[in-house]
Amino acid sequence: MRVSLFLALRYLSPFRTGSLRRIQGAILSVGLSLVPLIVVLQVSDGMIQGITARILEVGTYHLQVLSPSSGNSKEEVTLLSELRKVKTVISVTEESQGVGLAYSRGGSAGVTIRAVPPRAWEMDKGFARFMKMIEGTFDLLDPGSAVLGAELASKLKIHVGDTLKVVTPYSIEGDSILSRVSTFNVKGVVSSGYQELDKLWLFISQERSRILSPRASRKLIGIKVENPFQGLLPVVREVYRILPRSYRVYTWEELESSRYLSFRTTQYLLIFIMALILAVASVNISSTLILLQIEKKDELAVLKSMGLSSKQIIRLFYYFGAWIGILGALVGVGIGLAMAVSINEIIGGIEFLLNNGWEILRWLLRTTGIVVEGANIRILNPQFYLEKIPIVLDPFKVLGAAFFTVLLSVLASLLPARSAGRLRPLEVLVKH
Amino acid sequence: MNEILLQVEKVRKVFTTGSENLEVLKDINFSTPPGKVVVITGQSGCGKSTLLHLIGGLEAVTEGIIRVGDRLVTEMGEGDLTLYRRKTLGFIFQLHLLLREFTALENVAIPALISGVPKTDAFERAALLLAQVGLSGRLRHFPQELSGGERQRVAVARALINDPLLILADEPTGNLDEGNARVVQEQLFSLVKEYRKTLILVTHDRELAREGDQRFLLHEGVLHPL
Repeated sequence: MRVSLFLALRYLSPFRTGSLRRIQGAILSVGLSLVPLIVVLQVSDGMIQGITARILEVGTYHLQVLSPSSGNSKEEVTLLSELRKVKTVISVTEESQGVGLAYSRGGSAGVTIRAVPPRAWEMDKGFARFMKMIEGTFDLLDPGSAVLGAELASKLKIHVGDTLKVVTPYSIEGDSILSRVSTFNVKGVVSSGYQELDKLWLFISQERSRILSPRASRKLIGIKVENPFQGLLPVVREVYRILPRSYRVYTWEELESSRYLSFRTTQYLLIFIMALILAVASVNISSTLILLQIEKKDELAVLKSMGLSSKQIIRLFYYFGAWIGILGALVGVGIGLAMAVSINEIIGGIEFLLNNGWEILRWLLRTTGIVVEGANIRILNPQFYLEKIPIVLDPFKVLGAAFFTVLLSVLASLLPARSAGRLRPLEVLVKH
Repeated sequence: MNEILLQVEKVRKVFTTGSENLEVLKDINFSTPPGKVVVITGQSGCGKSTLLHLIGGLEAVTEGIIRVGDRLVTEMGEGDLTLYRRKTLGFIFQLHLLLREFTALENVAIPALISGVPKTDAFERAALLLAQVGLSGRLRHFPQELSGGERQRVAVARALINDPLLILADEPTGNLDEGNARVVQEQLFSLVKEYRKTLILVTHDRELAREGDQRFLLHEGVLHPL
């Protein structure tokens, strides 16, 4: 065993009273600074994948085939059947999308009308998995029925069994545009878990797609594969092989590129900031080791007088730094992972405390005659985030963060190590 | 055969403080064959320890030559000095200067480990030497659990572990009561004789000084044979 390692292990042994106690503060500081990085690494991936997967399953599809306006329905039936045979394809859905104005006695709202197959709920397992039935059923077998997003239903103040009117534009000869009013019976209310979508979506049967003006709508074929995050290109090539030339195929990455890029950029920025916090905390290692070096000056001088070289002393301090990094990483990874897997409970707990505190404050103010109105506090606004954060634990990222911590710790020990290496034994020994 | 282990020739040491020069050693000349005990006495502050530091390569001479065997200590670079201290020297300080977080056994073994001796061998040799200084029952004790005399005996064992040619002892009994001082002194001399080591001992203990094969008085920067 190298003598520097032997000395470091003895100095830092938990069974001996000395040096380990002096570096505890640095270990804790590094460990706690690593916690946010671990949480961000694990939670952000879960959030991005969760949001992306949900958006793909409920709306974007994994691939979209845009039909030419001239496409005839006979040709399309054959195409759909051919596309279903492609390897790894699990569902093929025909859909028309347009815009309109929905109104009821409760109010009105602009909507995105999605004309889907009446049995979309049964045909598309991913859609059914991510869509939550709030009320009624996803029943579009009757062409006069409709299913609404939860926020939209809430805004229009309508429930299952109510009647809903939808105004859509349609064009007549020339450039003239008229409006058409269609009536639907509400059969269900759904939630995608993403309020931004829930306040826009109105599902109707494909049979009623004619209410959408061809000039203000688009017709698409939504394709879903076994794994949208891997091996999409071979499927795209196969789909192109089947389709006539006039059709275009878009992957979800192209369709959602700006959203996906924005998520990733935010994630990288967060990771960078968290890594910066860790780097700042590692300065603490330098100061701890400088103090340790001052404290151990006599012993280092004796070791040098016995022939321990400057390089060996430098190495000894690198071991100190690495040891602080390893123990700090263990502390940080432990706490970080525990926090990451219970992030939903933690956020729920904080919201519970804040809301109860707020309620108590409001009650106290009421006793003095002051009435304060205010909604419940939500840390993550479900209008923009998922209601529950899915957790994706990535052991490689955890190992990477731990390695980065140890590396930073060793780098932070550079200065004290060099200073210890330069120590002249005589400067200390003459004092004795 | 007139073999010389240590040769100190025309050594001069001047300390400069600001604009003031203090000539501590003026013209030091002596040599000693292997296996001898050289005792240097003198008043406090006369430069005894400085001479020891010069021989130990801990400080550079202003002028002169120090030769150990066939190697010139005064011309060694940092790397050679480290090897010289590792292989050729054993130090005993007035204060034991043992490492607090290491047991007696580890304290003795450390110089051997520094020299690259395998751990098992180093610990075996350390245990043997500790037994020779009467501390076989104190191997696992930390310095703070030992008496002053015991600590200094550990320091003696530590100085011998690498089988050095030269042992440099700076007032090894200076911090001990008379009883403990005699025990340390006897064990030091006995081990030095047993292992045929050359001991350069700096002391102002007159009784200790009488034990030397070569005895010098350092006075006003010059060595006078006694």
